[in-house]
Amino acid sequence: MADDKIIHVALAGNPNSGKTSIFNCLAGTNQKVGNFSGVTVEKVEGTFTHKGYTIKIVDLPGTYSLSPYSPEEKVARDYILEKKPDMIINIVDATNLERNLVLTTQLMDLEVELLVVMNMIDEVEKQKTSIDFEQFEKLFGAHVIPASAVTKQGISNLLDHIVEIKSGKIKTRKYKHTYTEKIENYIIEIGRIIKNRRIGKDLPTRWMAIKLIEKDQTVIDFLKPTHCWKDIEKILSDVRDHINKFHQQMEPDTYLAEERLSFINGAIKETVSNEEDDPETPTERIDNILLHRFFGLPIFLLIMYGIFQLTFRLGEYPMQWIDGLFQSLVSYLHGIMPASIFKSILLDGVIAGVGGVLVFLPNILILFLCISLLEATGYMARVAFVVDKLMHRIGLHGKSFIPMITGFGCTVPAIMAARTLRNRGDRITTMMVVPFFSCGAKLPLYTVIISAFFAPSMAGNILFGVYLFGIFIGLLSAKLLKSTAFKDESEPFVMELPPYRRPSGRSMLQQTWNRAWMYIKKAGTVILLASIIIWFAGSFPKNHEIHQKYETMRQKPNADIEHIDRLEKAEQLPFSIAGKIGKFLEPVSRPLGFDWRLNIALVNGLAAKEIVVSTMGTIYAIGDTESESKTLAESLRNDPEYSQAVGISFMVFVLLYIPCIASVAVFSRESNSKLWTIVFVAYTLTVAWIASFAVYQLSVLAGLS
Amino acid sequence: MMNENENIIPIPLSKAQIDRRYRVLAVEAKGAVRQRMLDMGLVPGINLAVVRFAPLGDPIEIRIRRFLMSLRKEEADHVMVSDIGPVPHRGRHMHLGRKMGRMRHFHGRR
Repeated sequence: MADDKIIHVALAGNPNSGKTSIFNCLAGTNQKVGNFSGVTVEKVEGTFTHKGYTIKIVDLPGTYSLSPYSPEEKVARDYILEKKPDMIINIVDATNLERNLVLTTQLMDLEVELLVVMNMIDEVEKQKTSIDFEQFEKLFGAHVIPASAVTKQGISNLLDHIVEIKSGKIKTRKYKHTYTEKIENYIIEIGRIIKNRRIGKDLPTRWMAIKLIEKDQTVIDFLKPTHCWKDIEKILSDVRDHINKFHQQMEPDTYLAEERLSFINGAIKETVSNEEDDPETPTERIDNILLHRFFGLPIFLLIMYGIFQLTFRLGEYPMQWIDGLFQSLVSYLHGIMPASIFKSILLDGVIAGVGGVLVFLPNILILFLCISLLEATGYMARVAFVVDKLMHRIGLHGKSFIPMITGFGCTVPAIMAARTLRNRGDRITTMMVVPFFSCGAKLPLYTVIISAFFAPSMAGNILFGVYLFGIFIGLLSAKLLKSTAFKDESEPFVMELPPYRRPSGRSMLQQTWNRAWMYIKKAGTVILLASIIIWFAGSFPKNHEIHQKYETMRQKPNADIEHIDRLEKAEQLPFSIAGKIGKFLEPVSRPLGFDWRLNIALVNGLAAKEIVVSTMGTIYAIGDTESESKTLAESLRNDPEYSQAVGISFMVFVLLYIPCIASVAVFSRESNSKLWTIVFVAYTLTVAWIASFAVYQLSVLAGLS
Repeated sequence: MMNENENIIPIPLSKAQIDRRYRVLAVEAKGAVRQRMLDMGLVPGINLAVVRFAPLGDPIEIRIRRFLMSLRKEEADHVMVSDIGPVPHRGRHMHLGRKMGRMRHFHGRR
C-alpha cells in the first residue's frame, strides 16, 4: 500500500479521560498489546481502515502532562517527538476541561497536528452545559470533535476528520499557545538561537525553548554540551529576573503553569456557558459514604473480600471443568494409544502442561474483570486513598494492596495485578513480595505436614502462624527494597479522585481479554516447556534391572497394573535425573533437614506447588486421591528421617521459595527485565533457605527432632 | 489578587481543616511531586476546599472547583495556604451526605 494511504495516529490524554474507551471504539477488536521499547509501560496498537486509508493508532499512556518525571510521561513525550505520528488526537474529558486542557496546551507547544476530542459530551449535555466549539477552535487552533465513547456519538465524525486532515481536505492551523508578551519574546529569542545553530533539527525549537525556561533536565542536558549554551543561559537568567520582578520567589515553571491555567480559564469562560457553580456532585455524595470516616474502611474490606471470593471461589468451578476436561482427555487417549515414549510425553508432559496453563485462566479473567471494573468506575483511586497510610509505612503505594491480597489466591494473577501501579519501583517491589503471601496451591502441603507431625488441636494455630510468617517476610522485604534499590522511586501520591462513572462493558471485556491473552502466550510456552522437562527428568534414565523385575510382575495374571506402575515409579525415582538432582542438592539442604526425597518434591514443585504433594505421593508409591493424603501423612510420620523440626522447616521453605515457573514467566513478562527476574528467583530462594535454616536449627535446639 | 485587609496567616495544607476553603500561597514541593501539583492545577492564587481526610487520617482530599484530588500530608506540608472561610452551603442536596459531612467535621477537631 502506498505510504500516503497510511495514517499514523497517536492518542494522548489524561488518565480517566476515557481515552482507552475511545480507542476501543475506533480500533474495535483489532488490537495488539505490547510494551513500549525498554520500559514496562503497556502499549496498545490498533489498525483499521476507513475510506480507503489504513489507520494505525497507538494508545499512549494516560498522562497529566509531558514533563519527564514518570515513565508514562516520558514514553508519551518520546513517542511524539521521535516517532512523529501524522497527528495527535487529544482526548479531553469535557466535564473537566480545566484539568484536561493543561495537556492540550503542552501538546500545542510541540507544534504537532492536533485534533481535540471532547469526550463524555453526553454528560456535559446532561449537566445542561453548552460549549461553543467554534470559539474553542479559534482559541486553540485545533479542530474539536464532541464525542462520547458511551453513546458512540462523534466517532464516525472523528474517523472522517482523521482522513480529511491527512488528505488535505481540511487545513488545520497549527496554533501555538501564546504566553504573555515578554515571556513570548524570550521564547522566540531562545528558539532563534537554537534554530540558527541547527541543533536538534528534529525537535521543535519552540518546545525546547519553553522546556528550558521550565528547567526541564532532559532538554538542559541535551543542549548544555553545545556551543550555544552560554547565550541561552544568559537569556534564561533574564527570564528568571523578569519573573522575579513581578512575582516574588516564583519559580519559572510555576509561572508558566500559572499562565497556562489562566489561558485555559479564560478560554473556558469564553466557550462554556451555564456552568452551575459548584453543586455537590453525585460523586461527592457517593464518597461521603464510601470514604466515610467510620464506614469507609469496612466497606473497602468488604469489596476486597468480595473480589477475592469471586476470583477464587467462583473461579474454582471453571477450574474444575478445565481440570476434568483435561483428565478425561488423558484417560481417553490413554485408552486408544499404544504404550510408547511418545504417548508418555504427550499425556504426562504436553497435555499436563497445557492444562496447567489454562487452569489459571478463570482466576485471571475474573480478577481482571474486577480490576477493570474498579478502574472504570473510579473506585481504584479510592482504594489507594483508603489504605495508603498503611502501605506507605512499608514504602509502597495504596494500590499495592490489591496485588498483595490476590497473592493469597494465586501468585500469577497477583503479579499481573501490579500493573495498576504506574511507578516502576512500586510495581517491581510489589511483584517481588507477592509470593510471600501464601498462595492457595500451598495449602494442601501445609495440611499434609501439619496432620503428619502435629496434634489436631495445634493445627489451626500452626497454619495461621505459617500465613503470618509469610506476611511478615513480605512486608519486611517491601520495606527493604523500597529503602535500598528503589529508594528514590516513588509515585507521588498527588492523585485525582475521578468522578464515579458507569463503565463501558465492551471496553472492560477488551482490556480483560488483552491481559488474559498475553498470559496465555507468555506463560503458556514457558509452562509447557517446564512440564516436559520435569516429566523427562522424573522418568529418565530408567534402571533396567528394576524395570525387568516389574515387567515380570506385570505379566502375571490379575496383576494390578496401576499399583505396579506406582511401585516401579517410586523405585525408579532415585535413578532418574530428578533423583540425582535431589541427591546432588543434599549438601545444601541438609542444614534445613531435607533429604534427597524432599529435594525432588521441591524441584518438581517449581512447575506448580500442587505437585509438591503429588511428588511425595510418588515417593511413597501412594496415589494422589484425597483419602490417600491421610496415608501420606502417616508415611511421613513413620519415616525415621523426618520430624516436627523437618516439617516446620519444609513448610517455611515451600512458603517462601520460588512460587512456580508460571509466576517467574509472568514476572519476566511484567517486569520486562532479565536482571529483576534473576533477582526474583535468587531472592526468594535465599530468603527461603535462610528462614528454613533458622527455623530448623532453632527447632532442633528446642528438641523437636 | 489578594485583599489587603485579609488576614493572611500562612499554614501548610496538611494542617488545614475539613469544610474550610483556602487560597494557595506557594507550592514549595520539589521534583516530581511539584510537577504533578502544577499539572493538576495546584498553583499559587487558586482556591481549594478541604473535603476530608482518609479513614486512617492520611491522605487528605481537596476540591479545586469540581475536581477532586488527594495528596499525602507529607506532600501537603509543602503547600502553603491561607484560610479564606468556611465552605459555603452548596447545592440542593441537604440530606444524608451533608449530615455525615458535619459529623466528620465534629470528629475531625478531636
